[in-house]
Amino acid sequence: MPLIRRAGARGGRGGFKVRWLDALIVALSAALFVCLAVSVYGGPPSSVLVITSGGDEWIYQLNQDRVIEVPGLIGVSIVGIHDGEAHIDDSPCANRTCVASQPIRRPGEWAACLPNGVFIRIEGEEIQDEFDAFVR
Amino acid sequence: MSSTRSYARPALPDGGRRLAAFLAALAFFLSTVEYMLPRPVPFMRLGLANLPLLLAVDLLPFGSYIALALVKVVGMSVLTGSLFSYVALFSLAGTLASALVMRGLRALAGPRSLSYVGLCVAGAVSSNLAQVALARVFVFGDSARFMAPAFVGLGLASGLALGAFTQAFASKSAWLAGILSSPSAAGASAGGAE
Amino acid sequence: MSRPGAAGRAARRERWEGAFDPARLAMTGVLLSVVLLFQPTLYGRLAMLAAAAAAAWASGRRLSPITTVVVMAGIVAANLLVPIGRRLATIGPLVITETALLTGIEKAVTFEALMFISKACLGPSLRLPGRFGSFFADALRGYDRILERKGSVKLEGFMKSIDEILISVYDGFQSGGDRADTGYRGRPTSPRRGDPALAAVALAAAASLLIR
Repeated sequence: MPLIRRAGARGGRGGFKVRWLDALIVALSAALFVCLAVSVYGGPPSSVLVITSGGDEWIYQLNQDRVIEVPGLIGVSIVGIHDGEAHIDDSPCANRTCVASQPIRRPGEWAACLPNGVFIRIEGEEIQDEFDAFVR
Repeated sequence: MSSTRSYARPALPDGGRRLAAFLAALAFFLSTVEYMLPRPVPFMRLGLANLPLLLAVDLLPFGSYIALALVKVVGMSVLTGSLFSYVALFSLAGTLASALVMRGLRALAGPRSLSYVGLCVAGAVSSNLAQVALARVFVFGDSARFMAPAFVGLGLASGLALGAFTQAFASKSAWLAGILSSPSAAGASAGGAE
Repeated sequence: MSRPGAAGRAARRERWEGAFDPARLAMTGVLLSVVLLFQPTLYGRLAMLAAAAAAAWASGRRLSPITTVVVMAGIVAANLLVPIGRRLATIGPLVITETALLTGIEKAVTFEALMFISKACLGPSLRLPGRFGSFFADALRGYDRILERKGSVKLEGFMKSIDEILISVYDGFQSGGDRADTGYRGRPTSPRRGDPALAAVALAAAASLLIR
C-alpha cells in the first residue's frame, strides 16, 4: 500500500515536483517499515519457558527476568529466569538434584524436580546454529 | 546557517505569538473537522490538526513554534477531556517528537530540496514511533512490537497524504500568501532570530 | 441536536458546571489521576473506574460506551498476545494466560479510568495561569471565532473554504486587543456548593491508598 501511495504523491497535484530529500525520507520510512515487519513477523517465534505441575501449565517469556513460585506435590518450587536462562533455584525435595542441574535455554532442553512433580522445558523452533551448539 | 537557506521566515512583530495562537486555533478547528469526517479505517487518521504545525515550521521562530506544539496538545486534550490520561501523554510525546524532527530537518534543508511531503512523512513516522514506545510501557506491554510495523506504515501513509494536502494548500492559500507578504514580513532579512 | 438524551446531557452539564469551580475541579482531577496510578490493587482501580464513569456521566460530557468497551477489549487482547503465567484456556492459536490477562485488565481499567477522570474534571471553561495560560486563552478565542464560520466548510472545495475562513478571521484576530475576557484572575473564586464534595472525594481517594 505505501508504494502505491508514494506513486500517487509523485503524480502529484498542480505542478508539484518531488524533491530529492522527500524521496529519501519516504524511501527510508518504507525501508524501516519493511525491516520492522520482517523482524517482527518473519523471524521464528521466540522460545518460551513452559512449566508443568499437577494439571496446570505456566508459560513465561525467556527475555524477561523473573522469579516464579510453582506449587507442587510436596511444596513450592522456585523457578528463576535470568539472562535468557531458566533454572530451578529452590525446591522442597530431599536430594535437590534439580537445584544442582544446569540452567536451560535452548528449545528442547528440560529440567525437573521429580519429587515435587515440577517439570520445566523450553519450547520454540529449533534454531540451526551448529557453531553455538559445538561451543556448548 | 542562514546563508545556505534559500528562504527566510517572516519577521513577526511579537515573536510570532499571535500567529502561533491563531495556528493553534486552526489546529483545534481542524481536529473538530476531522472528527466529523468519515474514516475508512478506525485507526487511520489523517492528522489534519498537524497542518498548522507543518506550516509553522517555515513561519514561526523556534520559541513560538514549540509553544504552538504544546498548546495544540494541551488544548486538544482539554477540549476532548483527556488531559490527565495516557492519551494526552502519547499526544505530547508524538507531537514533540515530530515537531523537533521536522524543525531539525528544515534546519538542514530548505524548501528546494525538501517539501512538506518529506517533512510530514518524517514527522508522522517519528511521532508514531514515539507513541508506540510509550504504548509499550503503559498499555500494550511486549505485544507493542507486533504493532510497531503497522504504526510506521500508518505514519508513512498519513504523512504522505497530509504532506501532499499541505503542499497543495500552501501553494494555493491566499491567507498564507498574505502573511508572507504582510508589511512586517516584507522587510525580513535572512538573518532571522535563530 | 434531536438525538434522544441530548437535552438531559445538556442539563447535567449545566448543573455540573454550576456546582464546581473549574480550577478546583481540575486540581481534584490531577490528584485523582495520581491516586489511581498508585492504587495498589486491581479492585481499587475498578472501584475508581466505576466512580469516574459515573462522574463523567453526571458531568454531561459526551461519552461513548461502545468505544470504551472496544478500547478496553483491545488493550486486554493485545496483552494476551504474549502469554505470561498460568494457562487458563486455549482458543485456537491464542493461549489465555493468567498474568497476561490480569496485566491487560489492569492496564485497560487504568486507561479508561484516566479518561473518565479527565472528562469529569476538565471543561472548556478552565483557565490556565501564567503566560502559557493567556497564550492558550488566545488560541481558544481564535477557535471560537473560526467555529462561528464552521457552517461554510464543505467537502468539495474544502481547501478553498478553509482558506476563506482563515482570511476573514485572521485580520480581526491579529488586531483585536480584547484580551480582557481571557483572564486567569489568579485569585480563588468564591466558594461553590460542590466544594465540600470535591474535598470529600480527594480525601477518600487519598485514604484508599492506605487500604491493602
